[in-house]
Amino acid sequence: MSESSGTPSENRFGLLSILPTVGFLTVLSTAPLLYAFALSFQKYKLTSPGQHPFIFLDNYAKVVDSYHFEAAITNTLVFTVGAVVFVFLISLIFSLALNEKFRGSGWLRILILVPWAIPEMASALVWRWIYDSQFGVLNAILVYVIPVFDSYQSWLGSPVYAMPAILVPQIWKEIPLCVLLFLTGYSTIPQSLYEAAKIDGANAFARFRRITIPMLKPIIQIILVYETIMGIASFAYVYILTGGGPGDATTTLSWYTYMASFSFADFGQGAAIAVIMSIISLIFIALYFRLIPTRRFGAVGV
Amino acid sequence: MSINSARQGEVLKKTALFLVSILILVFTLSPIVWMVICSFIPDPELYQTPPLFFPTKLYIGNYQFLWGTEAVELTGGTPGVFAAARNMLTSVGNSLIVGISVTVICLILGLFSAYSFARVPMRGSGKLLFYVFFSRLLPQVAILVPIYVIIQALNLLNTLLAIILVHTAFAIPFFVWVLFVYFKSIPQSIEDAARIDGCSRFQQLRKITLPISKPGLIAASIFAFMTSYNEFLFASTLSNTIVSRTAAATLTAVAQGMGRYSVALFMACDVVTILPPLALVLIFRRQVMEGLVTAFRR
Amino acid sequence: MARIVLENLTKSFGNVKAVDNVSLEIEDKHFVTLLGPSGCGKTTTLRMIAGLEAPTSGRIYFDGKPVTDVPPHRRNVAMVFQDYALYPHMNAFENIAFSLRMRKVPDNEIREQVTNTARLLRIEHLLDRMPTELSGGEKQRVALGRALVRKPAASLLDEPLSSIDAKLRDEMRSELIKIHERFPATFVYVTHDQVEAMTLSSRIAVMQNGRIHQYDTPINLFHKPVNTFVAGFIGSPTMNLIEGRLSEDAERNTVTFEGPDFLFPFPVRVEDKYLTGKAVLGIRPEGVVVQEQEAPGSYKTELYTAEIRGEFTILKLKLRDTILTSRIESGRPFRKDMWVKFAKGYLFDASSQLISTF
Repeated sequence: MSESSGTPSENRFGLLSILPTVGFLTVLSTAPLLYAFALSFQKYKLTSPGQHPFIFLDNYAKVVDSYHFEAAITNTLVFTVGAVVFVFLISLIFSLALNEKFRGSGWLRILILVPWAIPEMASALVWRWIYDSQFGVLNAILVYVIPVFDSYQSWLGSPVYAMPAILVPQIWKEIPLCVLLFLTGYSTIPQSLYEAAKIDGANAFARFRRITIPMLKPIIQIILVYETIMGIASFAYVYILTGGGPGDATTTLSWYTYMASFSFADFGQGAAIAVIMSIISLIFIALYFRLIPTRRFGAVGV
Repeated sequence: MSINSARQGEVLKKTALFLVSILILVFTLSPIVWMVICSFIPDPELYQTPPLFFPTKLYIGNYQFLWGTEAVELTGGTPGVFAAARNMLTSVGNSLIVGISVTVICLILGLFSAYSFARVPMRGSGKLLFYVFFSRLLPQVAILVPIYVIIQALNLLNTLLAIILVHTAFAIPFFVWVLFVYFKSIPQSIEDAARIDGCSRFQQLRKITLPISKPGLIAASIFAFMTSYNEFLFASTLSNTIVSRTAAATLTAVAQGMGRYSVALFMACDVVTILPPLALVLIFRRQVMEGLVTAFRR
Repeated sequence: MARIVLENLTKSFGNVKAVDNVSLEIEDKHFVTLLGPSGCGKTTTLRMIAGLEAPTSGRIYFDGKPVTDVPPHRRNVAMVFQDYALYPHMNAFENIAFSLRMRKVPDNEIREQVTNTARLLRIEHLLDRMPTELSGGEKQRVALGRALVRKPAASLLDEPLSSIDAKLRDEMRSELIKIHERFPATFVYVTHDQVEAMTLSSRIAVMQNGRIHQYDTPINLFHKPVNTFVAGFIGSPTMNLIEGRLSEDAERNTVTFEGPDFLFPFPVRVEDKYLTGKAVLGIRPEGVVVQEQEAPGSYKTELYTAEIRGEFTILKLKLRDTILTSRIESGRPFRKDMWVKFAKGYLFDASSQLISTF
């Protein structure tokens, strides 16, 4: 129906109430971003305080030249793709199961929220302990309970296993949300579609492929893009579990940013990487709003 | 013939469901379960191969250390780290203070903004909403340094205030977004009816809109709280003294200082840390789930 | 109780004029309906009377006092919404009582007034239920109760019966008539259903594209429609409207209507100034009289469809390529070939205005 048109005083009030929020965000979110942008063109090393000359693209050159950079891009790519794919698949399977009503399904639907509720830092600590190369429980299970290996592995220190090792917590953490989104998606598909398909002779697999998946397209898009953004930004697990290592095996862009800023004590370089990372994320955000035809934001009525 | 295969299909489906359920259970809960188990084991007993999967008795010494009573048998780590752990409860307290403050500020700033976005037609409000929403999507690591520099310049390093400010900036976008969607879903006619019945705009908000939006308000507030509580990077960078750390920051310090030892103690720290958000989500699960879903649906 | 006057009301949304220079006088205690198809501006007009929309230009007066700038909560109007708009977090009693509470009416009076109103609407037993526990019809009554309980200056109803099923709708219509008799107050009603409008109102404003075509009593609208739109909108089944032209035979002083498939000698004088050519002939189904056999002045038609609607049967008859709707009493026999005569009708000119009737 038609929207209530505001009286001038209401319009003024509306504007007034939005301004503080926008202002707050600008100061604490956009301004720092712009500052980072500016920083990236400066030489800002903590070792030489007080001198921040503009060195234009020198920081960027240093960054791109660095062997860390190549590793960072590759690792971020591998990490993000891995995260998105596995989160998607596993959430799909879990949600299909949870969509059925069986004894305990209600409880499971609640419990599945747990990984999302836990602070990243807290779970990172446990994961580190689980992966521990001398006493970790993962090793214990794989050697004593289901003998896969004959001796303990160093998961976090191995160039081969480190990346999968940090993928697991990320996947673990992101599954609850995606399961929830899938579950909601299922509920929006009218039962009558499935019934019509059954009458038309489709078996369960065909119904899944030809009705469920197409009808879920918008949700699938949201999941894919959101998880991509989360994957690029993921930091905690690299920080706590591997510190980027061994060597550069798990150095992602976010870790590289941190490392440059705090280990190299070169804020300028750190800012440059941060800008590069932001641009990459921006590209994905733009993709988000292209792929998904959202209704216009704003107070337009239905 | 067909009855048999239907029956077989049924059985197959039931077994598959059972297996997947077990998988879900194990997958979701095992890290937490292990965390809890390890926290109830005396530290030296953790370092054996094969490890103790199920302790025979519950040892609460690790927790007692946290509330300052016992000196516990520990196996390593620096004194700084132990001091930090001793203050775990204070740190959790700090996290709660910060989290609640952030939520309150979000409510003050964000509620009216969300309502205005939803109801008052203004030119450009769409773009502003986009701007608000969009702020959350950029990687946080990117602004770590600038924020650090700003906070340092304001002389607010190692204060809870700094963390509150930064966390609010992180939490507001999603908060406003969730409330926006909730407000938009209230039929305009109900608010019109209230105004016809004699409510001014404010009264209408107070007596009708807000009570109806309670689930949305709860969800948005919990999200704001959790965004703050769970955040560790800025919390640990900006405020790193023992007294001023948040729980997440303390855990970070612990993680850095801890080698492979004194794990039991730190598992206890972990458990204590995860209790508030876990409790919140489990108690308000319905609102949280609805909130997440409505927010992402658009 | 109030006399409502709308003066040159216009409401634009961007470039679109939803309401275009509407002026209307609603007498006190009358039941006036704004009738028209979707998008004609009737709801917008109602919302401006309520104060929920501010007019782009124009003025509104209640009992001679200007209320154009008065916010809705101070206008003392009540409104019944199409989707009922009951407060979901309050039970039926509180929903009805809400406006009284806002006026700080003491509790015991509230109880009395609400119970009386509820009794009148026969929902007394539902007062402690929540809106989700009520059926559509019950919700409707609660919404009505909320509007009536405080005896407002005017009650505004926005298509209140459109979400109810047909049978219940008939019942509610009669109830509304009774309610208006018992609470003689100014009622402004909005609907697209002309049957509702005709049965309920003392006056109807037929609207289209933001303008009022005709504001008159139901009988006048039926018998003296001012143009083809009103003629076609009022009355069920719809009036037959046939396009054609007028030609004059000066010698014999007769006017003939030339339709695409037939000629009709017009039995009444038509003023010269209307003989410009194009015209529209309007005949209500009751005016298409079916004859047993051929007679002078009748036309041969072929039966196309027949709908038996209880007491009456609606026949669609083909006169070459024109389809005419006729209404006969059920029980009368009909065959494939029938003859019809035009008993009464209307003539409209090229700009759709009424020229003449016969």
